[in-house]
Amino acid sequence: MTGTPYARPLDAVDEMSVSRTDTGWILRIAKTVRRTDAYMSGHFPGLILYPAVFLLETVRQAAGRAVETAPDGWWEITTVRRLRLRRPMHEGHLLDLEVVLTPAGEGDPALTAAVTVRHGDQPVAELSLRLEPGAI
Amino acid sequence: MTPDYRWILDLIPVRHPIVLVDRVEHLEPGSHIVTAKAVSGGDLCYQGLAEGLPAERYAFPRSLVVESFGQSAALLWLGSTALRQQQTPGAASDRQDWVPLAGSLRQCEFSGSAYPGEVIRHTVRLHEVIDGATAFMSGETTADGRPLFRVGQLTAVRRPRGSITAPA
Repeated sequence: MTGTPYARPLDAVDEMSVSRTDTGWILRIAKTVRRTDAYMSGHFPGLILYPAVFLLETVRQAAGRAVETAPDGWWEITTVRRLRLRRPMHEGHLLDLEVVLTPAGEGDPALTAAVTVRHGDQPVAELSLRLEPGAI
Repeated sequence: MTPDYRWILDLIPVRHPIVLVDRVEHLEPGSHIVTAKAVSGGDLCYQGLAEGLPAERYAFPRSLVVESFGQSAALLWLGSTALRQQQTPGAASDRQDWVPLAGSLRQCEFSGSAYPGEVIRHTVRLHEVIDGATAFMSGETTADGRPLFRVGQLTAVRRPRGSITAPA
């Protein structure tokens, strides 16, 4: 397929590794905050910060690469149980995300995601999410 | 009152292409706000999509729905503060260069999607402000009248722009 298979604001994953576990997947994701990414020049002029909501996009796109049960890797966030931002994500910061993905349960196509975000040795954010295949 | 687009840009520091509130439809200072964002096929999020996709793949990204809600929340909080100061004779101006930031989100649920041609409408309620620096809000969002998103709690903080510096 030429082009992206679903609408998204930016490429929110630079690099990623996937480990399969007994209960699901562990993803390690790298994303650098860049003013040249779509939407970023306006958030904010003179003080570029990665919007906290784009962490949702990073997790969604990473799940699409790792878990093949959604068509064309199209997952949607359905629940944000918790998102806590501890410090701003500045231009040039290399964000290091660890995402623990777990199937929601027997007969349920959803995933739950427990996410920690760091910049170097600094904790940046924690998230707890639910995702479902986009076609549902 | 119904503030205009200039009022939006004066209060929140985002700029094109991530200004995700088009109109304030109603503002009750200190209480609630109703805002609108028109989803357009010209929005940046639709660049680079593959040809021939079904209409459902044009669902407006939910991360941008949440950002639009957050901008509406910032308008409610910062706009309420600004209006109160305008109406208080002798009050010191608070119109310095504030940057509103998300602190946390809790118990947020999506129940659908929005598509090009539809209008997203947010209703945000302000519950509490602590020391002028932290605000607690909640609300709902619709797309052309259909339930789209519900926010159990949004905690926002505001900081002077000069105080937000990257660690060395």
